[in-house]
Amino acid sequence: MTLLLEAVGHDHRDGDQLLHALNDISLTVDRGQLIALVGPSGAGKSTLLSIAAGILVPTRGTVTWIERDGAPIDISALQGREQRWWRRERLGMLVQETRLISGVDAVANVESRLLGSGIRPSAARRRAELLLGDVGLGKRMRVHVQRLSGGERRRVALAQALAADPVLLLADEPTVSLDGDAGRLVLDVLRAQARDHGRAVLMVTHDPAAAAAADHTLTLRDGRLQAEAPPRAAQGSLRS
Amino acid sequence: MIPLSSLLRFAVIEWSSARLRTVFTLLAGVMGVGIICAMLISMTSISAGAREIMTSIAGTAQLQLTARSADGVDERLVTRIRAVPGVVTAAPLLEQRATIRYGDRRVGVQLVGVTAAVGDLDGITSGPLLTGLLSVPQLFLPRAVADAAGVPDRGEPVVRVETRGLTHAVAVSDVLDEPVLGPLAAAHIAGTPLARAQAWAGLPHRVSRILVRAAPGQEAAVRTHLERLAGDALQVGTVDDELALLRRASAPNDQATGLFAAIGLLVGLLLSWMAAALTLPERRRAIIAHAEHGLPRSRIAQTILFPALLLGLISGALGVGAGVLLTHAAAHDAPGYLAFAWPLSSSQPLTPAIVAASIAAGVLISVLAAALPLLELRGDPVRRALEADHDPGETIAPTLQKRFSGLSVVAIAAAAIIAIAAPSLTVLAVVLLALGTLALIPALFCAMLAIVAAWPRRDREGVSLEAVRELRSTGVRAVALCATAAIAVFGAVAVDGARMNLLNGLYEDYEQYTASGDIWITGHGDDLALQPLLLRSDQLADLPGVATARAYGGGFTDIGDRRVWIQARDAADSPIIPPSQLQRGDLAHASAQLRAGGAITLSRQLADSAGVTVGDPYPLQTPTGRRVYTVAALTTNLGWGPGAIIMPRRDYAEAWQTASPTAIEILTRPGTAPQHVIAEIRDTLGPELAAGVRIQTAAQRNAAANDVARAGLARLRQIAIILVAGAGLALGAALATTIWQRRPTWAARAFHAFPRRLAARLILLEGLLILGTGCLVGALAGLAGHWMLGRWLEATTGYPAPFSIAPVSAAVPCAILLLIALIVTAIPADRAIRAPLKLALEPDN
Ligand SMILES: Nc1ncnc2c1ncn2[C@@H]1O[C@H](COP(=O)(O)OP(=O)(O)OP(=O)(O)O)[C@@H](O)[C@H]1O
Ligand SMILES: [Mg+2]
Repeated sequence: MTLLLEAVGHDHRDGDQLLHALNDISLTVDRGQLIALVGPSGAGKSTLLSIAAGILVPTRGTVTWIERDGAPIDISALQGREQRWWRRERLGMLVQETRLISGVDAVANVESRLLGSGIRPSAARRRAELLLGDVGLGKRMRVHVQRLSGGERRRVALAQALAADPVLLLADEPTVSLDGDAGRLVLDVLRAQARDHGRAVLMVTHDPAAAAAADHTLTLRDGRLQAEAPPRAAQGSLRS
Repeated sequence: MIPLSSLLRFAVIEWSSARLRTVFTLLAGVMGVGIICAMLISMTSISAGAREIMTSIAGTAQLQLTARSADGVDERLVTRIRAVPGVVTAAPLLEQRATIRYGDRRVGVQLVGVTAAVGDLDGITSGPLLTGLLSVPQLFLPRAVADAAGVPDRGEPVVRVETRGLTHAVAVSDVLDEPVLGPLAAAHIAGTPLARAQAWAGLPHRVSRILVRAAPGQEAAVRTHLERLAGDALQVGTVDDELALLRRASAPNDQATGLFAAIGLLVGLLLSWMAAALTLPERRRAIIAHAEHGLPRSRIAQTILFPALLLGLISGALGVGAGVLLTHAAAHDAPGYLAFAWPLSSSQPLTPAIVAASIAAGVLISVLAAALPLLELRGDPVRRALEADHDPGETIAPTLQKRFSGLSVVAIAAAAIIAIAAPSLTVLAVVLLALGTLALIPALFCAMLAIVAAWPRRDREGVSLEAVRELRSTGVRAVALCATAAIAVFGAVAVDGARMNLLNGLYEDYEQYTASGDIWITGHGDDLALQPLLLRSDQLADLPGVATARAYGGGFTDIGDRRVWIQARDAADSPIIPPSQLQRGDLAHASAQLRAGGAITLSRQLADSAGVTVGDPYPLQTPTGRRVYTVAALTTNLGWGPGAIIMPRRDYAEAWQTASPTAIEILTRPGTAPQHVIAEIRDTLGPELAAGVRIQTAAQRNAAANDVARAGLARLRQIAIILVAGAGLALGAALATTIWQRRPTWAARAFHAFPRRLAARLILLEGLLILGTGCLVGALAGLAGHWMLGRWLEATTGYPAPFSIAPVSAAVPCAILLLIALIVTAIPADRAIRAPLKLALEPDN
């Protein structure tokens, strides 16, 4: 299963003004791959992620998801029931701002993402605890989220994004506010998500260490992709 | 469908994440439901209580014959009725208004004289114990009467039974409780064997009502037979007819109560909307998050509505409790004036229907408030949120303002049209007016902010501009608070204003009604002077202090579903028609016609329903047959809901075949002190006769009647105060919460050396802007509502309610609300602006 962006361009409309935010972007993300997207602030990274998620409809170009059986799905044309299926069954998204339900603990935050799917509260709780353990919050998951640090909150949000077991994971700055061990742990998680769970992961980051951990780094500047340069660390694992 | 256990978990997560909002929604619901429940109880208690009493006595009787005359009919008629083919049982009763006196306490009751025949009707009186009791020639009292009069259970206490100007000392044989009497235990009645009641009332061998049970399938035939037998002296009907009469009499009361229930619902709704507005952004985000995860809309709706439903059920149940407390705290007796015509009960039945309706109201309040953010579900909320350039949760879009204002204009126009064209639907018009006012609040509030912002300022610190800026950025919350204040004040001003008009109208009416005499002699507890007295006016005419002594006669007669009050006045009475109550006709001419005889005045409602007006003939069914009188003038209902007739006493005595007056009015000689004359009258009557009657100056008689009127309307005032006080509490709590939630902002201000003095001024100004606007709008709309209700009282119900605005009475609810709200806010606000500086640095959550 593959995410395929072909000649994608997007203009933001600001009153009468057209802002060329993205131009001629083509990229693919396969299952098993962790791709990093870097670039200066305002380059259009978050915009690109929203387009890839099918939330924003690009002005030009196509966004396609290719299923296991090879059937292509036009992501930006999805609506209603199909759109919900896509968001529920395929997509996991970690947005740039962390928004959690305050007043309750991390477990409840992750649980609330699971309960809507119809699973029992006890099962939801077990799964939430497992996910929070995975992102290194095993000891802090019973603390009310407003008492958690920025980095801890970020990891709760990551656990939420992973909750529904998505095939495609789009993560906007997953390691922001995370340094040293915690940052490494999150990167390990993301890499494991790609390799061991076979997810396609596209990650926006400012963090050179994060970019270095990826299979592949794309650089976005002024709305265009720069020439690709596979990072050293990941070269060995690249297939053809 | 999401499994119930998961929905419950959702509810718990939501409640713990928004504890304040949850508590608020609960309180709002409890308050709204409490008012609704109390209103429903008081609405049903009158008719339900009366129905219980009537059916308890009537049992399986389908038909009844009621005497048209207060003196009843000859009891030998019963034997003839029993002989009618198809009649299974005929049970005679003598019912009389009476007072039971114990020590210096008096309780008004319906004295019911019964024979063993009622036992055959399988009513409550058929129990062996009761039938046994009735064979003892004594008096039994239900629990409610004994408690009200302070009669002890044991030791055969002696009470005095006062009726028709006679008084008898009687030993109470038993005080009966619910197990024996059932619903009658709460009734204001007193039971005794028929012969005794006849002796006490001075009506030997007379009965006032005969209950008849017909064999199955023969009711119609029996009825025809009975009608022939009854002639003019008796009216044949069913037990339900009696209830229809009562319903008509209590209708205005019920409607006013219903209006308050509607306002209670609105206030509850607004308060919980306000509570919901406190976390509107969070809820919108939750919805967007669910949509981001591809949850179907129906499931998103479930996650939002289920917790609200649960909360509504809880607040509904608690609200029923609050309503019961409220009923017991407030004046809980049925309006006393109705007791002049019907046996009433002091029971306050909490029927399953009331519980269900109250809980449904709780659910409605909670679910409607929570459902607001579900509007987000149109289209794709995720895409919309991404494209919107700011968080839509807080400010009010101008388009929305315009739309609301449009709605408001429509609602207010509709209210005005209804009030003018169809006054009988005024209650609906008032509710529309309330909704219209609500819809106008967003625009008015924004206009108010614009005015404050544009005001030429001497305020160098810019506190007012800062307040306007803050209020604009939290538009939804501010408007919700403002609207709640407005609607509470609206309800209180409108209803209390109408209540005051009505009271003034009643006072004025009664004052002119009693103005024809300086001193009045009436039966005890008989404020409308309905009971014949065994006195004659000429006994008193020769006393030195007495200039004139005249007889006055009064009673009830049933016309359709109206139990009409007849005032029969002496030709010499002046005024003979209370001038302020005249609605159509010429006072001098009409008075002259009345004095000449053959003419009557009618309440306008009576005339309208018969399609007659001044100058027309009006037929009246009397115990001596149909008689036709000329309508001399139309009046208000003279303070008696179903309507009233003034007629010459000579005509009344002739048609009703009664010589006994129901009151004697006395004009004193100039220069004689009324108290002196009263003493003379007592001496003349002797202790026995004097004890059975009430001898009062006109002013004393007015005061007693005014007390009854005030007590009858007291509940409206109590509820009005509870409404604004409760709203003040809730609004204060809500203001305090919003201030508390902004502690990081206060801390940041303090960090930038913003003086606390200014912070306090800022808070005060914001509070005053929100609540002041609400109170102002509410008071103005309330005056319009007051006018509508006043019109309804006069035009539809026929009550005298001259419209007058008392600015003070509009200011009082505002003052109560503002004061309570500001007091509640003060301490949390003070603590909030002293928030520790480190709060300024924490991430905004
Ligand atoms: N809804 C919008 N309307 C108009 N302009 C927008 C909108 N969303 C984003 N932009 C503009 O598009 C450009 C790209 O924004 P984007 O959020 O994608 O940048 P980014 O690369 O994610 O930056 P950062 O690293 O700071 O998160 C910015 O200049 C931004 O101002
Ligand atoms: Mg970004």
